[in-house]
Amino acid sequence: MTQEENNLIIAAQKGDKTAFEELICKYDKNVLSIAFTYIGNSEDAKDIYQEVFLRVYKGIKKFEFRSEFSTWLYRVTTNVCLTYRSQKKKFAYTSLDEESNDEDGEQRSLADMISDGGTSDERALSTEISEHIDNGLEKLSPQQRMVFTLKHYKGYKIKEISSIMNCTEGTVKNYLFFATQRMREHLKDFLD
Amino acid sequence: MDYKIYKEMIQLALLDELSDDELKKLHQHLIECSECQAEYDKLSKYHSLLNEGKKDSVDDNLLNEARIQFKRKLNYDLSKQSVLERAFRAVRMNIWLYRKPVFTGAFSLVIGLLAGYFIFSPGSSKLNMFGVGNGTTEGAAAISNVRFINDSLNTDEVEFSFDAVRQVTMKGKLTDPSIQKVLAEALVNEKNPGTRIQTVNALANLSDRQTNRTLGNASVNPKVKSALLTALKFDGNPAVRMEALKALLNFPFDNKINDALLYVLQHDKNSGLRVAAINGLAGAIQNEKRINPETVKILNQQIKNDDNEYVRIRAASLIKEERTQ
Repeated sequence: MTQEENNLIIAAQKGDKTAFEELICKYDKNVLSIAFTYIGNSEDAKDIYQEVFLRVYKGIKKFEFRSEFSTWLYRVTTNVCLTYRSQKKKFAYTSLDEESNDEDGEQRSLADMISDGGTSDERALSTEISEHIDNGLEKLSPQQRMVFTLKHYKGYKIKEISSIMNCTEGTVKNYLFFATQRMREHLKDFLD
Repeated sequence: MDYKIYKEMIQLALLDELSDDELKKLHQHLIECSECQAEYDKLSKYHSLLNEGKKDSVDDNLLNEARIQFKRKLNYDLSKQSVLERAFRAVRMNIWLYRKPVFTGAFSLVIGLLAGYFIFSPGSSKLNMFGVGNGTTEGAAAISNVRFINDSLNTDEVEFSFDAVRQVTMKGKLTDPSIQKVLAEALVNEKNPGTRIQTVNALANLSDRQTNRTLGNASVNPKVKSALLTALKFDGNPAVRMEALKALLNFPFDNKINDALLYVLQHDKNSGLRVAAINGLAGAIQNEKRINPETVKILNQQIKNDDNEYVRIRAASLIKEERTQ
C-alpha cells in the first residue's frame, strides 16, 4: 500500500467523500469485472458493484490496515458475489444460452448477439464453448465457481485467492482441482 | 513421487503456480513417463479451450453506469440515514426535556423564535423551512423529481419544484447559492433526461452570464462546476453532455476542464461531442499558447485511432502548431 493510498483511506475513514471516490476509482473496474465474470450479466454485475461499495463505505472505518486495502475490497466483492447468487437463485438466470427472437423473428441466443469481431464461424464456435463453460460453471458450488473465476479469468495466484477468500491455500487448490475435474467432464465433447 | 503428486503438479504447472525447480523436475518426469505426458497434453488442451471461451471484460460505459448508479444510491442512503438521525435526535431530546420540565418552556421558546426568524425574515427562502437549505451538502435530504415551472432565459430567475422530505417549490435568482446547489444536485442525480437538459441549460445560462459579467460579482457555487464536469463525462444522454461541455467552456479554463475534455475525446462514442471537445481544447491552447504533455499524448492517439476525420485532422493541426511554436 502506498502512502498516498494510506492517506486516502484515512481521509475516507474520517468521512471525506472525495477521498473515498478517488480510492475506489483505483479498483472499481476490477470489482465490476470480477462481478461480471462471476455472475455473467451486466445488470447483476452493476447491482453487485453497488452493494460492494455501499458495504465498503459503511465499513471503511473498521479497516485496520492488517491487510492490503485491495485484498479487503476483493474479499467484500467475493462475499457479495457468493451471497448474491444464493439470493438470486429463485429468479431465472439470464445466461448466454437464453434464446430470444431477433428483428426477423428468428430465434438467436444472447451470446449470438455479442459481437467479438471474429468471423461468424469462429464466433459460433466460441459462443458454443462459452455456453458449455457457463453451463458447467452453473454446476459448481459458489465457492468453486468463485475460485475458478479468480484463477482462470482474473489470473490471481492461489496465495492471493486464499487471502481474498479467507481460506487456506490447500482449500483453494481443492476447489480448483475439483472444478477442473468437473469442467473437463463437462467439456469432454470438445476435448476428445 | 507417485503418480497422484505428479498429476497435481501438472495442474499447478498449467496454472503457473510452480517454482522453476519444480517445473524442471516435472519436465524431467514428463520425458520419462508417457502416461503423465498424455495427461499434460489433455490438460493443456482444456486450458486452451477455457481461453477460447473467455468472456469479454467490462467496458468503460458499463463502468460509468455502475458508478452513477452507486453514487445515486449512496446519496439516497445518506439522506435517508440523515432524516432518521434527525428524528432519533429529536426523540432523544424530547425524552430529555420530558425529564426536565423546567427546560421545556425554554426549548419551545427557542424553537418558536427560530421558526419565526426563518419564516418571516425577508431574505429567507422557503427551502430553509424544511431543512433542505443544505440539500446538496453531505448527509442532508436528497432531492428528486425536479420539475421546472419557469426557466425563462431572458430573466435571471428560475422557478421549479422538487421532492425532498416533502414537495418544495423554489423561486429565486440563479445567483442564489441555494438555487445553484439544488440545480447542481439535480444535474447529477435526476433520473429524467428532459429535466437534466433543462437543468444544464439553466446552469449554462448562469455560466454564460458569469462570463458576460451581467450578474455583477456574484460567485458560482463550486458544486455547479463539479456537477457540469460529472455530467460531461458520465451522463448517459448526449444532449446533456453537449450542454455541459458548452457551459464549462464559459468557465475560466483550468486543468479539470482540460482533463474532462480529454476524457470526452478519448471515451465519448458521440463524434459530435468529440468534435466539440477538440474545438474546446484548441481554443484553450490558442489562448495559452502551450499544450501540456498529456494533451499531446492523447492528441497523438486520436490522430491514429479516432474514426472521425475532422477530429483526426484537427488533432494533427494542433500538434503541428505546437511544434512550430
